[in-house]
Amino acid sequence: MSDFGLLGSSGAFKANLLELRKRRQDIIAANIANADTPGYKARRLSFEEELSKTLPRGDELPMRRSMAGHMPTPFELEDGEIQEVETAIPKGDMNSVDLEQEMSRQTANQLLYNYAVQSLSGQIKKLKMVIDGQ
Amino acid sequence: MIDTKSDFLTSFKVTASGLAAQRMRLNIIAENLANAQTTRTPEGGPYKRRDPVFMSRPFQDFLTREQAAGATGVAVDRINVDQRPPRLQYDPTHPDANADGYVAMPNIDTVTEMVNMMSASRSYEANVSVLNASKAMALKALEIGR
Repeated sequence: MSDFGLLGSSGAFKANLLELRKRRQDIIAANIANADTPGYKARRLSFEEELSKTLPRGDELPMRRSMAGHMPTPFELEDGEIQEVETAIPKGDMNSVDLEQEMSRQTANQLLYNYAVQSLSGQIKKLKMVIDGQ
Repeated sequence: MIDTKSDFLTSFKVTASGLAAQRMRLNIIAENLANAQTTRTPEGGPYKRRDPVFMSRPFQDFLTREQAAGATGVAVDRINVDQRPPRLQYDPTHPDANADGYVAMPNIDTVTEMVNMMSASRSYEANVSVLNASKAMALKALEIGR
């Protein structure tokens, strides 16, 4: 994930984000597939907090490369954490999957995935424009 | 810390297992409803209600052959035979009636089966919509750089 060449660290960041969102989709798929499995606990993949730590904060200046020879600083993301959660409304079979929650999480995740794809595509498009000189 | 490397086939496989399990459940409910009046079976006595028991099953990633963290599918572990006593119905003209005129009917409650059927069909639909979402995401990824 470190060598993204022309796309640089922001390209690496977006690619890593896509990977994490895809993993979240896997977990949601597993939760919905197991919605009727006795004793199954719903799982959550959390990475937003770790992700925000890799971004510069408002009161801090972002790191910059002052010389071209310096090493670029790619965003090294944490892989995220999988946690098992309980439901607010317990079911009789010790299963904690809330179908409505999972479906809405899936929709949100899908939208944000599409957003990341478009953002990465936009970056590549600009690069192409520069290369073509148009 | 988990390994984030997994391909799109993982979520497809997980969802496929969910679809297969719900279809199996639906088949068993159909069997129960079809046999709601069956008083003779090869093993003797009235038909006994059947119920699938689901179990979560971890998957291996298609490319890395490693277990994909958190993404577990579902499988039918076994089919439970309901051992509750048969429902006795008074019908002295029935060939299977006992000396008192009571017939042992299957221990099936049609309303329960219908509710289970609706639940299975909704769960199936939920899995279909997950499959569509996963597919849309995979196709979107192909648009990168276009």
